[in-house]
Amino acid sequence: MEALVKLSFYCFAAASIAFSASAVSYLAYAVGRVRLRQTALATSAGTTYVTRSAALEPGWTGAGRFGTMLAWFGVVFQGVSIALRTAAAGHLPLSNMYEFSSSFIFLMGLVYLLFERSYGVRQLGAVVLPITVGMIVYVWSLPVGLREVNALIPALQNRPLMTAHVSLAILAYAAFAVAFAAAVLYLVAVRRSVAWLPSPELLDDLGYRAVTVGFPAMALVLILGSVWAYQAWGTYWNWDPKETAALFTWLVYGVYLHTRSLRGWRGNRSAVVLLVGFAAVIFTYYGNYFFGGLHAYGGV
Amino acid sequence: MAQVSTPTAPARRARRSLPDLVVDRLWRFFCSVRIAIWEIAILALLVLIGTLRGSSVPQTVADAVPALAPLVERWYAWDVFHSLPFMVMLGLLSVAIAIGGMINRAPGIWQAIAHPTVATTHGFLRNAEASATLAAPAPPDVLADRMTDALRAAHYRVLTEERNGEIHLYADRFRFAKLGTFPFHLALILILVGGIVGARWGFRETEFIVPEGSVRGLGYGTGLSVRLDNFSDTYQENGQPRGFRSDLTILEDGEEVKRGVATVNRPLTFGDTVFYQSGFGQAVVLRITDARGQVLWDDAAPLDFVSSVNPDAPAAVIELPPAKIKLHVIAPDSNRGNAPEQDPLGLASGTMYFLPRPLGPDGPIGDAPGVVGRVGEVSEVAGLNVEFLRERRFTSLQVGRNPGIPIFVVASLMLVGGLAVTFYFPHRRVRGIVAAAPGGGSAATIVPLARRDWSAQRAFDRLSGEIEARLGLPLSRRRSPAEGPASATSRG
Amino acid sequence: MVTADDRPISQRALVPHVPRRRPEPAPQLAVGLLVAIAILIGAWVVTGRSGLEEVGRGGINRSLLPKVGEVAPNFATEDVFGNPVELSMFRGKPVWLMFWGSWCPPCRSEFPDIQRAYGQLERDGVQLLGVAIDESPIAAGRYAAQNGATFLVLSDPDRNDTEQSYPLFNVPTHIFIDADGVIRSIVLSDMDEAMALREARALLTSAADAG
Repeated sequence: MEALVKLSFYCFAAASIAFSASAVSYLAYAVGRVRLRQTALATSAGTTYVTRSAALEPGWTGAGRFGTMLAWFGVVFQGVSIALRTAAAGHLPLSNMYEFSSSFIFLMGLVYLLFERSYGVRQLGAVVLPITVGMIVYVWSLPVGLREVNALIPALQNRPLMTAHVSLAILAYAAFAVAFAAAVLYLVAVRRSVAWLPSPELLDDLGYRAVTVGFPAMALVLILGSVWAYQAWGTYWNWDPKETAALFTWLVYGVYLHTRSLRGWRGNRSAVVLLVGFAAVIFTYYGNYFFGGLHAYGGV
Repeated sequence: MAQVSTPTAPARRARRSLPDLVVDRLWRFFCSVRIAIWEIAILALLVLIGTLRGSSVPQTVADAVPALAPLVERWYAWDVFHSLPFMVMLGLLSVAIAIGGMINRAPGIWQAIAHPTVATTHGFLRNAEASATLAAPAPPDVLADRMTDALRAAHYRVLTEERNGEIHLYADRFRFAKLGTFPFHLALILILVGGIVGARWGFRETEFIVPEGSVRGLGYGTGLSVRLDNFSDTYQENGQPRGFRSDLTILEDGEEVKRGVATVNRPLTFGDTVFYQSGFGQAVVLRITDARGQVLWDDAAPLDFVSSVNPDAPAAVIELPPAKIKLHVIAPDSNRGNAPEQDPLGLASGTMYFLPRPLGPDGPIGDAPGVVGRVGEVSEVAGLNVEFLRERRFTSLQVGRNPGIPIFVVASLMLVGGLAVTFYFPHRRVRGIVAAAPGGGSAATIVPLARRDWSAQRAFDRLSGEIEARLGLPLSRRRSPAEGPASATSRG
Repeated sequence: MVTADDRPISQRALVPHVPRRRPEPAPQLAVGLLVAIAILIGAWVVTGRSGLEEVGRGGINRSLLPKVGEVAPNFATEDVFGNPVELSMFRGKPVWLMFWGSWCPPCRSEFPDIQRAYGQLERDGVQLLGVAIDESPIAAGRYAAQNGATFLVLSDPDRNDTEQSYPLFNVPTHIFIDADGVIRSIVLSDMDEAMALREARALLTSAADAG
């Protein structure tokens, strides 16, 4: 058992390195290079003028491929880490902030890579992977005691519901992170003529697709959460800060979808709604820190 | 089309009666997406206010800006989720969902499913953001038939109509998925209905306390009472809690009807009444007799209060109406870390402090002095004999009956099902015209109805590819520079 | 003049998307392997510095009480009157070892049940040792006497004598040891009379089986 937990932690460290390197690669790929160009012009009089110009150029294509490879490494290592910890604990690692965030890192990487594959848009990684790295830094900063495997406390002792409720929450957050990245790139792409960014339409659509994954998942999170609350506490809705924040998040994405389908919102306005939505996601994620409440068994 | 919502001509409106106008106004009010979004925003604000009420935020605000203290007081006092504004907003939003989200859209959606317009114009095809054109040596009707076959092979429904010697064509897929919006919106209303049904016809007791060995009546007209046979809290070796468990016996009109266990995630159900493990504490078993030997109390009393002089000392209040006395029982300090001055009573283990107080205005005693009683002994307290038999534990249960739950379950299924259908089976539509070509033979042009919908255009690309492959005819694609996405380049 | 920034989106959309113009070859397998190895070595260095040594020993893996099936470790302490007592003195008899304290409310709640159960078990030859911890022998002895305890009440006020072998995080803790000194069960909660009888009588049947 001890060995499994150790190995899981080791794999998490490996994933941390892989994701961090991947983030750097994606940034090198997407941000592009500033190239200083010196041109010597010979004039008819025999003198030469030297002109200097600075230009933004496409990033290093190789770095993008490298980033993808590293991100896959990260996902694999993190997947192994989670599998080992599951074996050691007897339940999926979802019961404290260390475990929850580890699972989040894994799913965010995976969901991102699947979107990258189906859309062929690598620039997104320059936004998603840094978020992942932020999450990794957060996990490393957590108290060391949380790295240990503990038995589930009575309130969490409902393995099927815990697994479904919490992993769907992670899936929704991951999808919303991808949508957020698409919105950020969209806002850059329409303002700066950065030719190597994907077309704004594609980013707009990608954001929408990500929300169509996240929104139903979030609906299920709310529903399963109330089913669970009903079984454990006898009320299916408590207006607890975290569940209220989750509802609010869901409503923001509901507004996003309705303004698109009924009022034909696209582009800028939609992208701004996605930014607000992701701010709500972050608020939901850390909601129990600010307000305590019934979800305050994160262990910190 | 939706006749009710389409604005009538101004000339006619002038002649309309006042009730008509009011209905029309109201109808439009509830159909407006903008107003619905405002309603959601106001609800969100109310929810935020209500949620923050339970946190440390109002206090922080009051500390930071003392001038706001009175406002913060009112904030604490306001039970938002049961307030009129909250209910009104929920009601408004429900009606908006019912009218704007469902009824108003129903005719249009049904029209699109059952009787879509088939005829189109060349102008429409020209202005489409993408199109595919196919030329064949065969006459138009033959090409139209083959197109129809190809579209059907791709699981599209195809409708055709002949106009001026041309064949107009409409094809769509997943048309019934458009109905997914109805279960979704109905579900939102049903969730509210479920909440109302639960609140109106169910009941909830949040703190139903039963000491070990005692029977307590549930009330709420259920005729049920509950005996706690045993409570136990189990721990892991490292001190982490492992489980809280109540062994319960349920009695109906005094007859035992069920025995069972309630733990934190596994409530005990009897009929439609559910018992949830919620909390626990200490209890004290007393036998109290008056001077004539009449038994006034022979039961356990839960120590579910705390002493006013030491919040770490649990306390019980026992009302003895025949003696017109209210007996306060205070147990020893439960926090071993407390300094002696924090524990003024300084009770030893195995003792209880009995403090008699008058019950009602004509109680026989004033502020009589308290007495320390020891376990197994009888103490005289304000003329009563109080025997401290032993200590026990109590369980605190939540008990509820909620007839709204089935509604809630159905609503959840409809919500998720409706969403899944809407998102994952998007309604795809294609229009086209098959016409005779000037140089002989015929040409068919089809376009997607996919304005600013990149996914739909991608689906159209796939569809036209399938048609090309199936018919074995050369197909030329065109993308309007005005609207086309850059899919071709970015897909590599 | 139309600058790049003024162009409508749709026009710019037609600008080729440079990095994805051609299908890309996958990175060489060898490069991938090297990178993977580098990451694994890096992780070794990182975890070596951030406590890989300690990870995995806490939580459920932390070894605390002796396990069921093991021989109960011996300890030597005193009863509430100061007489020396050792666990090993009772070898050959089933022993019910209870850690408690009169300061602990659940211990007080179960105390009458424990005494009633012991009243029956005493005749069967079960020895109950009630080790009162974290309180003075006087307090423990007085409480036990008030409640009519007939079992042997031991006292380990600072846990100096028992903590080494029996590190406890909650009282009451009940440990049932058979006549051969082997632990048969551990109960980490309070018990009522029926449960105490059930647990203790299991010691008698196992002794009968062995004999």
